[in-house]
Amino acid sequence: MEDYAKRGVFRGFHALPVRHGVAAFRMIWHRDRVFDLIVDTQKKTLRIPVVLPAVPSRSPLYRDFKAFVAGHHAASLPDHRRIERTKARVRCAHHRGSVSLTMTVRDGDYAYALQRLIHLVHETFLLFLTSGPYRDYLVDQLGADAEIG
Amino acid sequence: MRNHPRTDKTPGEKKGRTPRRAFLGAVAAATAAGALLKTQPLFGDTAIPSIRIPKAVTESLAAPPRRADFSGTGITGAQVFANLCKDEELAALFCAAGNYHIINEIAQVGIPCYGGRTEGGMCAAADGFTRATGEVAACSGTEGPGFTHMIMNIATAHFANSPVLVLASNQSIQQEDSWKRIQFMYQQPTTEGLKKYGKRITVPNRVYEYGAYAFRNLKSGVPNVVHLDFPLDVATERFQDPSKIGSFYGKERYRSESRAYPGSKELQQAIDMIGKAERPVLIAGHGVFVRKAWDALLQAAEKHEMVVVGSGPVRGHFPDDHRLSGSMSNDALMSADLVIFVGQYLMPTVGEWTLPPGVKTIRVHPVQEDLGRNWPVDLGIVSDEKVFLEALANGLPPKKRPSWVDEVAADKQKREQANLALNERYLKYSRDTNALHPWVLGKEVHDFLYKGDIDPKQTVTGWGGNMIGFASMRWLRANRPAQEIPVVYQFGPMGPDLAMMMGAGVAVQRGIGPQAAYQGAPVVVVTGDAGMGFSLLELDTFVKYKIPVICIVYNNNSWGTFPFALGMNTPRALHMYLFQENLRYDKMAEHLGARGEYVRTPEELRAALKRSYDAAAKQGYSTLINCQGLMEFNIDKLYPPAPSFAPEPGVGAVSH
Ligand SMILES: Cc1ncc(C[n+]2csc(CCOP(=O)(O)OP(=O)(O)O)c2C)c(N)n1
Ligand SMILES: [Mg+2]
Repeated sequence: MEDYAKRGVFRGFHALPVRHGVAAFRMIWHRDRVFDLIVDTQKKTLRIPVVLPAVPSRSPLYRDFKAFVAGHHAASLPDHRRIERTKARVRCAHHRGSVSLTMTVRDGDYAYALQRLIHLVHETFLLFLTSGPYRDYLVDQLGADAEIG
Repeated sequence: MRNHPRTDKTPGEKKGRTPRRAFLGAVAAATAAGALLKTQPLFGDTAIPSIRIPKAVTESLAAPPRRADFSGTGITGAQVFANLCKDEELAALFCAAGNYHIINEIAQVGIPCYGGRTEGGMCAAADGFTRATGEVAACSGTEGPGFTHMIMNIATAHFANSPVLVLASNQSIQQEDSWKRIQFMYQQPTTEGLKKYGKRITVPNRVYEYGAYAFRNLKSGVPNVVHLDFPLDVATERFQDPSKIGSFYGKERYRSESRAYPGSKELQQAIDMIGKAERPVLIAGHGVFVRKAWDALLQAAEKHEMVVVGSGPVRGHFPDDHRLSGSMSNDALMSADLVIFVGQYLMPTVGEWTLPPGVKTIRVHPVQEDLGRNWPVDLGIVSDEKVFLEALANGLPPKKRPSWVDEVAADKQKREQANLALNERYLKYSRDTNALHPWVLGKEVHDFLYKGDIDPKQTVTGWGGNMIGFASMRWLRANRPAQEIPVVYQFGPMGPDLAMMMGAGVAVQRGIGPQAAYQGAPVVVVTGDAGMGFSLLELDTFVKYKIPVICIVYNNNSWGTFPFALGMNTPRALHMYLFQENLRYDKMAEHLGARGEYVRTPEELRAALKRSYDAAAKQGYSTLINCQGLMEFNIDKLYPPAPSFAPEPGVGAVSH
């Protein structure tokens, strides 16, 4: 994480107090939003509780996002893009209007899982949201520009 | 400049010249005679003289050039400056009348000059000319009103790193602060932050020296706008003796062609990093175009199979249709394990572009101060772009990367299919409403320019506008250097599109630089109805100079950002965004001496494009195609999905 922060991927990166053996980190990332990352070594998970805010659970956006996330395990992806099931499992969940991402580490390789998770969030903002019909969501919820000039 | 120059003589009155009044008499006689001969009914049966290009224009363009020298009554400050521009091979001046001493002398010395309808339009034309050629172009206007009219397009040129030389007159220094009526203003503070160099020349015998400053800045390092203003005292000062002029030595002495070379150690480091990478992406920035380094780029990329994406305010220095182009493969770009920025003048910030988080980065730039700006670098190299790419082409070993190339190609195909799938949906909207959807418009233009009978590398396009911009950016392509001009690059101005393409059209007509192989071809501009309010009258300028353009106007009766009024629940605001419905820009074009076409369906557009292109290519005619659309297409909820920004970098990029 420090390394990503040093490379300017996110800003204001810092650790939050450890609670019940669970480490948490906070940073400012896409669309200048605050992201938390929770590392639970007992459950062997890395979790970002709010990846996308204000998403209705029955919306096409959430439906498409689930498919987008699941697609990252697809065998058709090149190795360098796939999330290898034997190493880590990713799933998204909906809670109180927000969409979270959880990566379960299966072989103890936290570095791998973290790297995949960071890439997935990055792709969510730069590929998923920009290539689908989510213009209004980007503008209304994430403060993106609606006009060209 | 004021209407009445301070000198005793009018600007034209010098030995061997036609006195101004006599010349005007000749023009009047010729025009009157022509008018009598060629009247024809235009409206009903009233005999109204028809639109035509005055003979005086043709004659004036053919008048022999003349270079002033120190003999006789000597040489004026304006002539000293004009001679310097000639020696610097200034490629074109675009102006609206004003700053008379300067524009007249620049024209007289033999520099190609073009007079248009507004100073702002002519500033955009100069920008368009530099974008299409990489050469310096000048624009000019009168001191206060003309200069201030240019400001939007000076800013546009600034954010496009265009080497535009902005010239404006200024009132006599003798009268400064005296409230002696019109047009006195301090110009330089107005262009603060919008130029690389600017100067109000106040000491007449330093006119040459500051001309040298201007060209040194325009032609060295990273280009940008230069702004000179000429008080009357400077333009009209006379010199009988070169020794009276300060720093009067040639361009070989006041600037240098020396370029920065990469150190051999850092070059080797770059070669090693690229060699070790499995999926390198080279971003070929604007500097690659400016330094005309596209051949070296192609050589390096092909030899070592690097994926390349071009960027900047003019596109095509790496062709979109090349098998190594990543310009439509943003998903695949996320697989890169090394990025090499070369000549990327306006760096994106991390997270703006579809490149992996924290990707290893090399940046090559001619100016050391910019290395590390916005984007952390693993290796920064100060170098001229062309020198670096030539060294890379030499130093890299041949290599094949079939799986990387396949990944990028497959992604491009996916994107093309997605574009077509969307077109099916928009086509249905068009059929349901009998109005052209901008996306459908874009696809028709695409098929016509790149998939029909025309050489897909031939036609230079420019585009702007809002919803029509979102659609055009997805469909227009650049398959060779300087083939596509995204007018809205960085600054996002509405309006300069048509005027900017007048400059690009001049470049193509004259076959300058990358336009040489396509000399004489028509240019195409796709713009919005909002843009018509700014530039429509420049059609007169196109016709006057016989520069064929096909101007495709997406007419949706509105400033396309009207959904803001609805979204903010401010219904009383909506009217401010709306024009009269069904305005006939095609008819207006006809009354400006161009052809007009009116279309509402893709079939009609296809036929109109063919007619217009034929008329342009065979007879040099310009056409405006009025494409009637529907403002409701801009409302995402009514006609989803409303087109929006393309992922960057690559096709459709407007930010960096
Ligand atoms: C000179 C200028 N004025 C205003 C704006 C703000 N603006 C950006 S897009 C836009 C609407 C442009 O309308 P049009 O080009 O007709 O696009 P469309 O109707 O196709 O969406 C406006 C007002 C701007 N960028 N530039
Ligand atoms: Mg409009």
